[in-house]
Amino acid sequence: MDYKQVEKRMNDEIDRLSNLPDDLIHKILSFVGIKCAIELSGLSSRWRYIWTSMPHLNFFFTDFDMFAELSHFVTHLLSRRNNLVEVFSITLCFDGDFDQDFVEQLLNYAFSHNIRQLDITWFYENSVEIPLSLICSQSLTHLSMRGDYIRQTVRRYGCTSTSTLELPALTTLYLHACTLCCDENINKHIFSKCANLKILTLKGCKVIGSDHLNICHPLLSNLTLEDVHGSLNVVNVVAPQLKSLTINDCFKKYQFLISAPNLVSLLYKGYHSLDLSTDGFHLLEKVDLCVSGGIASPHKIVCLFQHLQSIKYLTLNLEILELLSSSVQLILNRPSPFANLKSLHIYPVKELSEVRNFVEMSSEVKNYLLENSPSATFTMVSREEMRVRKDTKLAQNQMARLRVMLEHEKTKMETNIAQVENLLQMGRRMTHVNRCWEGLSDRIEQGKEQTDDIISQLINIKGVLTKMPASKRAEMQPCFSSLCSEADTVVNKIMDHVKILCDMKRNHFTVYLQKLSAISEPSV
Amino acid sequence: MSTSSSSSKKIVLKSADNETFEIDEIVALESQAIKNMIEDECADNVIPLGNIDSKTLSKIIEYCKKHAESPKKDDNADIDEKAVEDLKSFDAEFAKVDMPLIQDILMAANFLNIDNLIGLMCRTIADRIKGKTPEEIRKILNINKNDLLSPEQEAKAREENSWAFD
Repeated sequence: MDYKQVEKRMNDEIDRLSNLPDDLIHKILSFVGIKCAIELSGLSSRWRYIWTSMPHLNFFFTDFDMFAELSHFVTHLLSRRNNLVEVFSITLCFDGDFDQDFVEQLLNYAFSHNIRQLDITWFYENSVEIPLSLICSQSLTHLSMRGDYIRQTVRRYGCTSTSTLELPALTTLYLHACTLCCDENINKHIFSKCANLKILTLKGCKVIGSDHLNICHPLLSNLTLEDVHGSLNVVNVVAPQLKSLTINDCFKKYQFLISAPNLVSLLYKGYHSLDLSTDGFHLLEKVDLCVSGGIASPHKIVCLFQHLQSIKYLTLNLEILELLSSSVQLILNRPSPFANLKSLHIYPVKELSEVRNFVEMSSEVKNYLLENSPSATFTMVSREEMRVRKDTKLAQNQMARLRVMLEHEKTKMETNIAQVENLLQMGRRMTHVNRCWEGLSDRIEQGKEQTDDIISQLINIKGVLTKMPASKRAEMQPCFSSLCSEADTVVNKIMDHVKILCDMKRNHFTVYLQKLSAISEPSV
Repeated sequence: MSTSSSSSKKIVLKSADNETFEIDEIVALESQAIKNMIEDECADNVIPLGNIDSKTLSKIIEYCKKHAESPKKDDNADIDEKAVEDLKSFDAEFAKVDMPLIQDILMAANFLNIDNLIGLMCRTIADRIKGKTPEEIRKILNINKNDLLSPEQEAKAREENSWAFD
């Protein structure tokens, strides 16, 4: 080998990763979780102790079978990691049993090590009760507490706030499936000691003890309230810096008292019209309204428009316009509320069959919205187009899923044959011979099921595709064709695989019969 | 927020193998390091990047272009879903390259301080080693043979960390 070749080889085989600074390796390891990071300590001398200085402690749900295992792991981890290294972030997921002492121990460690980001997720098949008051940190900037459904039957809340949160550095707060106890004392202050809060999201949270929810923050810029419910009637927001407000899945009639003079963007989705009192939205530019319960009052919608006079970009669902069309007299003598509209976009959320008392959108309604904004562009998605879009997305998702499955089958098959060969080596005892026979039969059966499954998925996708208009179909065709040929390859491979298994089974049959025919040997 | 060409000032980047790339300033600003250089006015017309080869640099520019064109999250809370999806699938496609190139991109992104790209490359590497045996990982990452632990050391490591796997 001459010198140049050696140099080239060295270049190709350079161990780039080990040359990376610690913080990048830590970042890579943060995605595999701390448990896996420790497993990797045998990899090489570079990796040997790198986990001890990990600032990201991510405990993934899949790494621990039981809560006890997690708790055991964490206790050891905290005593063995480098105590001088700060903790930047913790991700914790759990279900089942929950032990407050354990969580307290972990959090106290984190708080004393200047944690910035804390994400806790629980699966609330079993009830979990984490008091938010456990979380008390001077350094935390990001907090996310979320409950995830396994079965979506009963609403459960995993986290309760009964006192004021004391998180002075916090800028982002995300609470999902939490109970907010807002009695007289706490109500005014629930987030008041989070003076730096900029982004607040409350999702699926239940308010108890008060009919008011007060959100008053000098620096708040983004607020999202999604499916917030409970004893609530009034939401009071005072946020001079608020730029973006999202109210989503609002099923009940709430009254919103909002002081947000700098608001730029408003998104509302609910059953009723948004009942709003404000001291003016003079900078509001973008509004997206979706009122879809079929029970909203057209009058309330007209009132709502009066608050939105300055806006430039308006998006409405078609059902709102149909609702207004059913009460055209409401708008006949009114001037259009909008003078600066640049665009009006309309889209349907329901299929025609789902709309009660269908009234076609009238030209009066369109005039009412646009007469003072002659230069505004008007776009409207029809129900037919909406259906095509939905179908397109469905087909794309199904194709993506099948592609992943095919990829998975390919790798699985390679290990499969090796396993069967191992099985055949196992021994000559009757129990082994029996087990071999069953193992082979199972695998042949599996092969058959897999091919059936692949074919039926393809048929489903084709079903969705044929419903689409020709142009859309043509667009999807290349993707579908390549998927079919990929499926063809994999199905062929599975067939070959099944054939090998059948051959093995035939050879094995001789052994099996020999064993069976020998009456002297017991059959178990 | 505006990505308009009102001030389409150009920046020229020069790779280690002396290839030059002319790009819009807005694309270059995706790199915090270049941004700082421009702000401190210590960037000449041509910025030499002596530790990044042209293959890696052209990939990085491809990434920055796409991300510069995409609407930014902090400008507008509700950028439409499609843009997010589009960027996601771009990232997924972008990461489908061999491991040496991924590691080169990671190092270069680290040098240029492009936060999103660092994250994407780290996640890609993590995804490729997840669930693999140590032997497979050594191969995937091309770990230097001289750095391997001796069988005794490896046994010791396993012993030391046995608490994690009980």
